[in-house]
Amino acid sequence: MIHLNAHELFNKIKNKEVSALELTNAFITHSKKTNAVLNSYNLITEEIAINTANRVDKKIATGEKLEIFEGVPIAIKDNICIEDIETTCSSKILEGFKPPYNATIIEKLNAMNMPIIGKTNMDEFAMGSSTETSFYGVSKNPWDISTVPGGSSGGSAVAVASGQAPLSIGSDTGGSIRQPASFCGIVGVKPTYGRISRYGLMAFASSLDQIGPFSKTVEDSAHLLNILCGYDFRDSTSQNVKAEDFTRDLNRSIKGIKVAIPKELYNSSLSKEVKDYYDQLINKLSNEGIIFEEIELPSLKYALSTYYIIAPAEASSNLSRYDGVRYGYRSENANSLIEMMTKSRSEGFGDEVKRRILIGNYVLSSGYYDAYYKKAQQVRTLIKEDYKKAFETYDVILSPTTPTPAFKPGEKTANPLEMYLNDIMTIPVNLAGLPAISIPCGMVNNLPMGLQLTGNVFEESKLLGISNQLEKILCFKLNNSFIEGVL
Amino acid sequence: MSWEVVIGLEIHAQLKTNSKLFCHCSAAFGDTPNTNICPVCTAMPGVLPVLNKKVVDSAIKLGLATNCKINSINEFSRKNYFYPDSPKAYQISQFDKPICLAGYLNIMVNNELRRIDITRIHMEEDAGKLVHQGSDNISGATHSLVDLNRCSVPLLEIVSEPVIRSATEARLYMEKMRQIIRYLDIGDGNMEEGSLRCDANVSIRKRGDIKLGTKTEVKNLNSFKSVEKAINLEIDRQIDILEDGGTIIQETRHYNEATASTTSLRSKEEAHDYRYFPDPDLVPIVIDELWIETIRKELPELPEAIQKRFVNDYNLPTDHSVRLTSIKKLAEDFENAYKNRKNENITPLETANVALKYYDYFLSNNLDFSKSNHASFQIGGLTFLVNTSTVSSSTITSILPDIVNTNYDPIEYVKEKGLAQVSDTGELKSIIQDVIKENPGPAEEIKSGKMQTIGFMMGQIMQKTKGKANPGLANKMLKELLGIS
Amino acid sequence: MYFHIYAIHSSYVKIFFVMITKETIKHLAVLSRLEFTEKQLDNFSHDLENIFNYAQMLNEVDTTGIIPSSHAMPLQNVFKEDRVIPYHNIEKIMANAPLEESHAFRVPKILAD
Repeated sequence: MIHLNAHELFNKIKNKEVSALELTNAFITHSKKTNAVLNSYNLITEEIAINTANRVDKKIATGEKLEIFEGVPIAIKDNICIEDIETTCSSKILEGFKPPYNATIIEKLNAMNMPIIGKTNMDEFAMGSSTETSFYGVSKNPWDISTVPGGSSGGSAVAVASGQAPLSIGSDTGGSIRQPASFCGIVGVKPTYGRISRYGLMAFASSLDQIGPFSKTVEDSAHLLNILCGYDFRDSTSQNVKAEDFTRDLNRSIKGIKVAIPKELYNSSLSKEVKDYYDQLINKLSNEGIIFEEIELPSLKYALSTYYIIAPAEASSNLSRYDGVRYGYRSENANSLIEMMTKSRSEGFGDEVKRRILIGNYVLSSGYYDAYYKKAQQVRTLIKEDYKKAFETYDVILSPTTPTPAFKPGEKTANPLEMYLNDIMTIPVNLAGLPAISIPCGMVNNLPMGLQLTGNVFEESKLLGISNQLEKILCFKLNNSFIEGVL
Repeated sequence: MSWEVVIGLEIHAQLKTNSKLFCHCSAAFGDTPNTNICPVCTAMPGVLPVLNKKVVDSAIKLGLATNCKINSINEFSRKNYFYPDSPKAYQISQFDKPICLAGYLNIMVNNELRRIDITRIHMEEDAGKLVHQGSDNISGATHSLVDLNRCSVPLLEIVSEPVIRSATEARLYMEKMRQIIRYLDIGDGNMEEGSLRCDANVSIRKRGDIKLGTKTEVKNLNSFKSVEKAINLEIDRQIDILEDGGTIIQETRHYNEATASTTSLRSKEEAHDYRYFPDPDLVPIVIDELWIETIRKELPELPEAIQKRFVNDYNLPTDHSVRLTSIKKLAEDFENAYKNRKNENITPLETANVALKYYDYFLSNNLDFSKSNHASFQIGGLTFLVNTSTVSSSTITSILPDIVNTNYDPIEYVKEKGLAQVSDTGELKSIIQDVIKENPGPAEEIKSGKMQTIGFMMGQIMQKTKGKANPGLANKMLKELLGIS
Repeated sequence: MYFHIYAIHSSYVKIFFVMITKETIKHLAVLSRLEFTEKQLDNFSHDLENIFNYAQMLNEVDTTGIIPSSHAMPLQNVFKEDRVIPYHNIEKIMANAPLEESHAFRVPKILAD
């Protein structure tokens, strides 16, 4: 049963083939059993999951109609606030922190009676591409537990890929949903900036952060987006756009659609092996009547540099609130206020977080602001303009999601820049606020690879429609051998 | 050596809003620590700010009232610094795109008009409060307590150009600013309670020099008296140093009201790199002409305009009209009192005199004039009594304690208490005749031309009538009866 | 003050070599309320040097007259009404305090440094 996708599970509940409680218990049992190996959860929230499942069963018993995904369990990245449930961002500095409020999306999931079965592991404060920076240790990729699951939303990707949960929530600042989705062979979506409220998402880089879903199928993500999206008055950057049904284009034909392949993403950083794989894939898709054209988006070459100035700048300020005064970790080894703050932060944050705080403070320092921060913001404008021009002609933009399949822990930690380069495909999208999706497309070196499709702003429906058709053509099968091995 | 004083003021005005700048907590003063707080103003992880529109409206109002240009594109920036009263470790403020620019206020200094230029006005959030334990001052404290009730209450920071030339000018400018803030009803403007605060940048230079001297920033000015006193102290201190051949160090100095002295606050080396950048959690505010015009229409008549009108329409002396417009309610109460009774032939000047007397009573007894709901009605009644010579103006002073803060009709009150002046010539005549009879000596003195003695005789008349004799009438009749008129 | 930029060569595009010294890291650490061991200072100065030298490619881009983007999406004039909505879980905020006294967050003594 745990292999089934969310839609199939929902139908089983609706048709009373299984109760919501039985289903939730099955996922909790499997999660507990496999977590020892996969380290995908920071916390399993059995009690609240069971309470929610019971609500659904009561509804069924009284003959009430269920709305889609009621009773379907979901796992939540540990940087999204759930009232009274420890939320840590996988950082020592938030040890023991129990939010006094719910994130907006948690309210929406609670209203939809979706049992929350746990808080998933992640890179500390979402800074990383492998979950290696987590205070709670690295997660394992269920396809090959000697490799990383990607990051920063690694735990959420693992949860769905390993049958711990049919759905999960991640956040994506520079690829933190799409990259782990690619590494773990599942679907991950980063919606248009402002589609989903950020209220309750512990900020990394405010102008780039966006919450999004993981699922086994494009259709499941479309349904979940219907639940998550919507204007929120508590988030000033929330987009007040009319609600739409993101499943509306799922069955639309993709014959004749125009797909752009930007040279800047497709040539530079791919190994021959990976390049050959995607060449062959594009050939195959061309036979389905999709028109591919190589284009130039010259500013994309600068996206990584731009990102690694803007994101740390915002982060350095966003993470200043962790000072040991009001919540979280406070060092015992201090005799004065300034010492307490300095020691709490020095003992509470890991090295990658510290590195980014330093970068951020450097680029915002007086005398360096114009040369770095302002310059990066100007280049950001150019990146947005390049994309805008491309979407005047093309329906979607295609690239691999990552330059390589999953790597091994420690492989890239020695050189931070090398780790950052892993995000080169996904980062430009966040700078421009665009929606993008990663769908699994096949295997390289026995590890899954993802196809990244980027759409124009607010064109999630089109993006999901095209992705759904590609999913049918690609026929990617989830690897259930790990799951079966454990069972 | 002749020194020229150069002062710039940074005024912080707390705005009178229901809720805080970026969350829905009450902006009211909270006694118990941490009772007006929520996840947003305590900077819980994951929270986001949403701007209170009333604050923007208030800033536009003050900008228009101080002749500023309103910036059409506005942005909030983060001012980054660590301190426990700033829970986000950054203050949301405005940096290079403040809402108001390049305004001015006119003040009168020794009957001369002085224009004080305003550099900018911007919106920002207040910090929380630190209470130091174990000692009265920060250095002796064993630990401190953080109260975030005040955190994120909206402020306007008003920065003047360094064009103020004396401590008195600084105080007058500050008083003028408070008057306008109160007229606009955007803030309490109460220095003692901290809803109006000010820091002064003070420097001196040789008269005729163009280059500015090194400035110091004087903080903790909690009353208008402090503003004047502390600045004068700082001027004297700087003159002493320079005349002794020393140099001024750029520093922040803390004014201590109790000891009437300033002490240096050593500043941290890195303290001035605030790493401002546009707050990505807030979006730009675009203010168009329509918005500005809507606010302009809502602006009340401002004191300068009312003063002119009072002088032109009512022929009031300038001094009267300035005093009447010191607060908006007084100006309104005066004008309503006059309008309601002008058919009864009272004059604006009589009304103004009574109104000022009425208001002075509140001031000298520390009473809250803003809560005096019957002021206009009572001022009108009292003016009628004076106009009809029913009571003397000294009687008014003596009955004020009994009627202010009540809904007494002064006319009824005077009737009830039998306080009407004796203006009956027959009654008065017999009293005066008695007084002359009882004081033959002084009477003779007056007759022989010693006019000062009239005062003594009037005193005797007042004693006999328990102060109710109409003084003008009594004076006239006394002279007639003594045959000297 | 502690930052050094050396021009290595300049053609029509200016390329600089950015040097991040340990002193720079120490200064940034004070701004960031962080403290480091000597080894960390070495590592971070090396890391930041690499990253900023990589980012020097931005100097190739002509950004004259380009308006900086602070946001991913254009939005303006988002407000809340001036209305009080009391928050009812203050005790849940206070419960997170590492040290509480008299319903306030207690912090160690503030040294005038």
